[in-house]
Amino acid sequence: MAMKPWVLGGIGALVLTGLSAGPVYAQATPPKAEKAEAAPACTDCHDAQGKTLAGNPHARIRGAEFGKPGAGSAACNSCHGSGAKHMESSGEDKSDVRAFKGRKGAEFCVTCHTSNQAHASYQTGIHASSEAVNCLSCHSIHSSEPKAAHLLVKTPSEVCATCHQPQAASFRNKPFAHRIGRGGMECTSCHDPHGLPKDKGLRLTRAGEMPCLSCHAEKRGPYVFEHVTGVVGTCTSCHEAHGSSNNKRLVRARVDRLCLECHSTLTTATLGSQPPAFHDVSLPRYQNCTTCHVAVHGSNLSPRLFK
Amino acid sequence: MRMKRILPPALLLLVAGVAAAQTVPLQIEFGYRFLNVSGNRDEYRSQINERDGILLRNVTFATSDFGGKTGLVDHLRLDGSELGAGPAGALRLEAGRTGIYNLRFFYRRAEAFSSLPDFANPLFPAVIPGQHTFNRVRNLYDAELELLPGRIITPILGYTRTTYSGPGRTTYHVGQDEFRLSSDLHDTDQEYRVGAAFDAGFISGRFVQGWRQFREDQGFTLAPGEKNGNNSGPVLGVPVSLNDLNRDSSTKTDTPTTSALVTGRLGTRVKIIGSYQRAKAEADTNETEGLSGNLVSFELSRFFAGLSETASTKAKATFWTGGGRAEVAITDGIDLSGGWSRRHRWLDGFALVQTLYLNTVTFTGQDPKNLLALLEANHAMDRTDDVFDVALSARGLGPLALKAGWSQTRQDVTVTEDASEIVVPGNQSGNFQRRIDAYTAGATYSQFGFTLGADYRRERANDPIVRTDFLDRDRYRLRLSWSPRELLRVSANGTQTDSSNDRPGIGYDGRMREYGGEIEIFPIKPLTLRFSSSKYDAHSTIPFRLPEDFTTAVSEHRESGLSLEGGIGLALAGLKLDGSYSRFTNRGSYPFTIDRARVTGEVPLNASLAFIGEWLRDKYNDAPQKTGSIAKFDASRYGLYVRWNP
Repeated sequence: MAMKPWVLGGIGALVLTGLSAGPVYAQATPPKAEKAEAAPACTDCHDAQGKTLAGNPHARIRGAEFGKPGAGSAACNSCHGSGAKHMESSGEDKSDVRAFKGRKGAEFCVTCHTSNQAHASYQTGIHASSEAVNCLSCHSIHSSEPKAAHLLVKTPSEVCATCHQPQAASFRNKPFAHRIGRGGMECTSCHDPHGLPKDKGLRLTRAGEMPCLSCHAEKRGPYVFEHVTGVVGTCTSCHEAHGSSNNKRLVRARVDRLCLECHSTLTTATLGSQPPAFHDVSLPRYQNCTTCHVAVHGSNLSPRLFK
Repeated sequence: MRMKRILPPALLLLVAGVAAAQTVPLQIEFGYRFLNVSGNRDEYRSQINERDGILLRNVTFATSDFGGKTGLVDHLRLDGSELGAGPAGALRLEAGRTGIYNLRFFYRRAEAFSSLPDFANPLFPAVIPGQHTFNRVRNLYDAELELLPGRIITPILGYTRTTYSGPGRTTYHVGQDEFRLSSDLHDTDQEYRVGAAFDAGFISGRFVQGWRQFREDQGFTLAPGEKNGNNSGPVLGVPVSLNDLNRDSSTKTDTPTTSALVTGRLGTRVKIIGSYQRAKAEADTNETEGLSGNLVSFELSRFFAGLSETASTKAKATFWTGGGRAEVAITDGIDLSGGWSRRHRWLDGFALVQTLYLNTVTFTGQDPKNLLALLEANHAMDRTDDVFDVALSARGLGPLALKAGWSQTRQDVTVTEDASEIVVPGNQSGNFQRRIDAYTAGATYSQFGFTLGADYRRERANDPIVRTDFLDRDRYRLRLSWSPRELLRVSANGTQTDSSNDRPGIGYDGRMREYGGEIEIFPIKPLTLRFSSSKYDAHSTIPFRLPEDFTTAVSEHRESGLSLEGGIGLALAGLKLDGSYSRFTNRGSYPFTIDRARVTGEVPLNASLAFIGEWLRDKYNDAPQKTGSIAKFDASRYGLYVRWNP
């Protein structure tokens, strides 16, 4: 597993190639820093935005070092257009100021923010379905909630809860749930807000697995004797990630019922529908299947998942 | 533990030192949290687990202003939250120099605690939640370095390390009884990554090759005082007991991973996206176990006084997913997209387990001898999922947006029969296929601060693979919001999902409804009032066969939850106050109530300093089961913090 010489060589080649290549700014509609008069500046009127933009990534937009001598309003113009008529009319005429409304607004943001996986499919993405939601529904281009990264207008969990109230309520109201909004765990830890609508926008691991395995690596396997996780189902076949009344976050309050719903002889053509055993589940000793079948996620030692 | 104690004050000193040197956007909240818990403390820790102690509640430091001395770094952002007195804290760092490099680092610590009030306890026959407990800590470190961002080629280096360790309790079924074991777990998962992103205008993408290493070492011993096991009665006249047990297992899993993404544009209207991800895992496990006691084996038809076991296993799995899709802008605001993706997983497992049963005798006490049992198992499975989808979306139709789509999922699962499995023949192996067609339609209307959205999804499957698979599933969703000027914000939404499988012998039927509403009122500028209510109902039934007498019973699961919440926010020059109270009542299969109160007060002393007081109360009561409530608690946390904005 030690890093091999060809790997190091590859890294070096990539670095050299990158160094030798020039910058590429050619996008479909590049947001060039349109030149404006040095004075007056946008911040003469929009001083609140000016104050917050200094620590903002958009202040370093290509070729427009906001606040630097001679830079003028180039950073503002990069996104909003020249605004010459706007200035001449003392703010009355807004015809040459780009407002980031609806789909058009999102499309302009993506002229820059398109070169990574998150925004690769924004047009048909999970949040690109209406004029009511665009990039600015969640992000601010000037300033952000101080506690939030990625220029979010609120903390991540608050942003999501604005629309997804039932899901937010589930985290609040179920006794056993992931600690959303606390200690780095957010909705976006598992869901990709820029992803495609399929699979509930789950943020898969870098190897394409369920996001649960990003943290719960010990459940990843592979196991010699795999249970449902590796055969037909997923983690959510048995677990409710958004909160549960069961302390193992099961989708059923009783673990024996969860098991017996699949493992029953009433059906003969479905996988796993043989009887679990001749246990007397009326006795408490047998009501918790995992007392004996402890390795329910899979085992390397026991075909019956005993250890 | 040392890291956890050192990190908050170290961060404070570092950030304060840098901030004192220059004027930069910085915010720090730190202080002390007090805890008062009455009732079941283990239940509190299993649910909330916030402790008393020093807490760096929040730190944010962001700047791109280095006083004109741009050296190694020209932009920096540091975010930290909930570092110190657990149970979870995080730190995120983003730094770099424009056009040269970007560095991202993320750290998260999460304490996982679960302690339950019973061990298959016959005193609580209504609900037996479980008996596996743990008190463990997970640390996650993730770093990624991008070189030359914005160039045609951007090399990427990354490293992720996750550790998970700590004590726990589990159970072991041996000798016709179940015994409680203490365990000590040490897991380390690491991934090294190297790759590059490229952006040539009309085509861009990313390729990353990773190497993942997982190491697990776990030891088990018989828990103190647990030698008599779970079964109080004798077996075949013999009181079963375990005198001692020692088990050690180690697992090594090496997994090369590959991920690639390419997006390309054909003209201005067509976008092509291709993706591929692959992980090829090889896991080796070695185990030794030794135990002694008075035990019974029905398989051997003998009593035995101990066993010595060694096991060596190997599991190989290859997983890949890939696909391609095209997005076509037919005209301005109308997009057509379609694609295909495949997920494939192949597993081959082999296990060799040698078990030497010591001092065995027949049930009549005859023929004493040691017996060696060999288990040689081969297990294999193959799963392929193909998904085809096509969708049409029309936006920019004034205030109206429409979308419609179809997708088809084809699942193909083959599980090989394993002669080592001692089960009733049938349905443990074979080939199973399933096809699901899904149709979606949705509309959004948005104008004058009013938004109304409706979605419908219809899914039809030809066959189930497992009993709980649906054949029919319909989901309806309605969402509306209204924000007239800055006085009011109203939102409401509802979702209903109906699932069923009417095949003979299955008869699965499920319905889930979630609906709620929220209103925020801003009557005067410093005052905000909030009210919300949500209802959650879920009900599912499926017949099953009771294994003890083969009669048919119905497994029924019900959730019936009602949430009511009210809050007030007041923002005056000398005082900021935010308070809320909520009550959630669940009358479902496991009834309980949760009462929550939250009060935060902030008194600014000057432009850069404020005192914050916080009171959080959580009162949990699982409504009386057959023998009464078993896990109620009332927990208050009081926090005194200072917020500093230099």
